Amino acid sequence: MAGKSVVREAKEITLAIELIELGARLQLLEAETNLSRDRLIKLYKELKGVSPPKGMLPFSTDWFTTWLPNIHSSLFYSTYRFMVDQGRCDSIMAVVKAYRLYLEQMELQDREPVLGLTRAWTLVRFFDSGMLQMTPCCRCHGHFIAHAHDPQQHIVCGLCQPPSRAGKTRKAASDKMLALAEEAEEAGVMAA
Amino acid sequence: MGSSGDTLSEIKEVNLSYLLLAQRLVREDKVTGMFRLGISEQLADVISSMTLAQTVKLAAASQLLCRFRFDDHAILSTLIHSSKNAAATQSHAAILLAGQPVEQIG
Repeated sequence: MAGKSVVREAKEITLAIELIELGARLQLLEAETNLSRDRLIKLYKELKGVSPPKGMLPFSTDWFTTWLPNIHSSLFYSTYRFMVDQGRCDSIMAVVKAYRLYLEQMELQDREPVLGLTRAWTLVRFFDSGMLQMTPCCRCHGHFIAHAHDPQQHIVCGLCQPPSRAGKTRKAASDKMLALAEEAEEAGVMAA
Repeated sequence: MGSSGDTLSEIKEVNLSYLLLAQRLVREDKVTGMFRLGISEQLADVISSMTLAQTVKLAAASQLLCRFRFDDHAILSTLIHSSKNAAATQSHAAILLAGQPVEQIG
């Protein structure tokens, strides 16, 4: 406990506030700051007016490979990589900066963000542990999220070749894709 | 002469606007600015350190200083010819730009 720095604590609180405002769950805050669980809960309540949600974080990689989530997550992760590789940001700052840019893009397109901050953070951890990879589309050469060890050749992305139902009735389609993704994830949880 | 003069002054204007915007972006938030511009850290450092006099001098060129970022014609035509809605095209463009290598010095 020796050498507790007030400045460092202030920085961590600032970071925690930023993360909570962007929608972070408690597990993310605990992992990314050295603040105690009690203080984090207090901070969360003060900012959001409610207790932080309980329960486990989503831990299936499948969600990221379903159509709409794949597009949103691929945009986020490409941005994140830029922040780390070109900007030499540390991981959590790269998540924050990339997530803000992602929200901005969604606002520009007048779309609801599909990817939450906590899930975006989970995504980075999946990449770090080698469960996901970026695969180039053979038509547009964009990079899209795929399961690790999936084939890397002759892959066409979900934007060059959308599934037949995608975007027909935009809202319905995206709701449906989300529902399917959630179902797949729950099935994953049951199976685990 | 008149129309060529107009074109030259338009180019100068675009150059100046681009440089001033680039400077503001990298000075406000260097990394986010680099991302929006698609440039390396070295380039961002040079751009942000330029004085106004240097900026104005550099902008007064007969050629454009900013480069078109969709420089692969096949990719560009895929992007504009696919019959997607506007939002999908925007998402697609954003993903392609985000994954591009950056402009470097040298």
